[in-house]
Amino acid sequence: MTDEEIYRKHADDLVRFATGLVGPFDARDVVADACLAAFRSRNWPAVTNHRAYLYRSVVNHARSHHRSTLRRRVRELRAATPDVAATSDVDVDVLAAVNRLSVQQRAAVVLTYWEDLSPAEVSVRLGISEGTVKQHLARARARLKELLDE
Amino acid sequence: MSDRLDARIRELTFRLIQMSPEAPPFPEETMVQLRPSAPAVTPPKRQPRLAWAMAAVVVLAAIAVPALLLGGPSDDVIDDATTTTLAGTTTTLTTTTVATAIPEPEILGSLFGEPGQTIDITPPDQRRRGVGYTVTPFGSTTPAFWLIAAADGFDGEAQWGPWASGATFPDISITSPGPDTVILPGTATPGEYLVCQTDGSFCWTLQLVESTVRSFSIDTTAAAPIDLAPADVTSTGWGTGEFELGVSETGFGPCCFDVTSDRGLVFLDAQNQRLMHWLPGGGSVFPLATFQPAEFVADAMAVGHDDRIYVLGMSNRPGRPHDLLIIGLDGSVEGPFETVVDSNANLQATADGIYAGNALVDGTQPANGWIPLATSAGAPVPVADQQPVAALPVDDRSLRIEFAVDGTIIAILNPGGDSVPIEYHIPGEYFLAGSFAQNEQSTVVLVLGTSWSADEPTGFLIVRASIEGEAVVSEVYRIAGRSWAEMGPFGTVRLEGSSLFFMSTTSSGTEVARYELPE
Repeated sequence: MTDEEIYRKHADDLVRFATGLVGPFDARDVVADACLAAFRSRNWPAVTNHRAYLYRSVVNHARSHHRSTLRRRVRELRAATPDVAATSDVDVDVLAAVNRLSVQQRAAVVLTYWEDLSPAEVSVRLGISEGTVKQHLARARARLKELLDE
Repeated sequence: MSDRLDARIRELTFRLIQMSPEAPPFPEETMVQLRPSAPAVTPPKRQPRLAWAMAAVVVLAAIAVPALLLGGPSDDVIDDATTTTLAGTTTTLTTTTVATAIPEPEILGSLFGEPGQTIDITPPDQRRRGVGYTVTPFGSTTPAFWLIAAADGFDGEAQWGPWASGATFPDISITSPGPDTVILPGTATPGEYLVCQTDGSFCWTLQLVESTVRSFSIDTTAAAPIDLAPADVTSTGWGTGEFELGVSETGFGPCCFDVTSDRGLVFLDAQNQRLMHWLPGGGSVFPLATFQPAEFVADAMAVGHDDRIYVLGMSNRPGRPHDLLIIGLDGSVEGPFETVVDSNANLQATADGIYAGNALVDGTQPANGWIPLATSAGAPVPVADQQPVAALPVDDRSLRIEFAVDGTIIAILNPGGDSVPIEYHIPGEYFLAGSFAQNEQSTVVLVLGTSWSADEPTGFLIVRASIEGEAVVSEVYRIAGRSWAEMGPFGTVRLEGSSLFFMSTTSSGTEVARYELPE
């Protein structure tokens, strides 16, 4: 399977995943950068689980991505169009909520609640321990609970 | 509640994913070249999988003999015939001869990390293995580093070191399922490596990336500080009344205060041996608790994230360090619980629990650690587990304050998980009155005193620094100067959300001023 075929197979899922990590504005850039880096890596030929590798690459790129972009854009959206949440495809409140979480917490939440993966499966996908996944999930839930209870 | 919360988080996630854009086209090299900040990149020639395997074989042949002769990971995993064959080929190996001597190692996958990072590695199921590994640059036949893994069944810590003849590995064989933990060599240069069991049975490729501790110097003079006026001031006189604090004759106000989640104020009125709770609406609980000096002399206090009050003080038991009391807002008291704290301390509450830092941590001298006293659930930490930690945990992050030789204050924020630590360097003419990590991944709030002299007013600069792309953005606010002699040294500053509370004592009593940092 060529790189392009691998990319086409996973691109939609990766963009959805990246949206969960950095929001819709930058998801495409993060995925493009992550995939390009993966394909160029000399590790790539030895990779057997392309999907997991690309997911991890997306997380890594999301982490190093402009950390405040999402926060700033939420502010800009609110300032520019106060009723944007009601009229646009961009759900500002959701973005604000996501902004409360670290990238790792977002990754755990998206894979758990969107892809319905168990902590063990999330740990394989992200290359971290199951305990760490549970820790990220617990803290994400605690953060979101604060927000949702407000 | 849990199901309901899960349902709401699921809905939130779905709403988020619904905003997902279409996938971009297959990323070509030209996409990178369009980015002004990215250098033109010539993609490295890909090494076919066989190349990795052959590289691993060569590497293993070169390292196996010293590794084995030095004790190796385990006698159980090496058969004698292999050892004998290798012993005669130490210096004359060729790819061909080695390939026949050593079976192709199993490459389990890829590892990523930064120098010095601790990572988990998962060995093959039930595979008998040692805890020793070699780290060899791709294309080299000589290891550059050795690793010893921490693993179930091995009573030792993860270690690393530069490869040298004579290095030894623990003679142990384990079969625990893992993952094992290794520390990637802290002095390794970024690049691609092979990480292999010393017996050569399996390897990982390792992509070691640039250490990405990001370091920024904050210039507190670059922009005119924005003067902050208090949003409100709560003042009270000296005395033992409901809304009085401290002892006028001595000029001592409350030693410390903190803020409850509903913005109520809690004062440890140590001079009057009592704990005061002022309700946010203006009422008070009078007093919330009292202490008998013959039994307990309180000297530090913090309100935990559970809204319980943690009070540290000395019990009247000679030779015994401070004890901890946990007091509910309803006046209930738990404790005293033993601690290892043996000097005046500064208590800080984080989402991870309650920590005590002695005076050295508070900003006047190099930090030497925080001692955990209670868990996030409010349970006292047993004395045996009260080991100092270098950084103050802040939720899943940590904040460490260091002092450079030139007097520069360095605030090191670890945003959490294995994200990139960020260092903020503050000029040395300031002293640190308080440091906080805000509820954002990469933002710290530092409260800096502008003068240490008792002869001139002490102003305060509040530096809120956060990462914007590759730069640090710092907002500097200024609070009008006060005489340092009028200010208590501990517990004088607290941050609750974006509200900064300053407690000070004046000639007429105590006041708490609330400043709102702009959103």
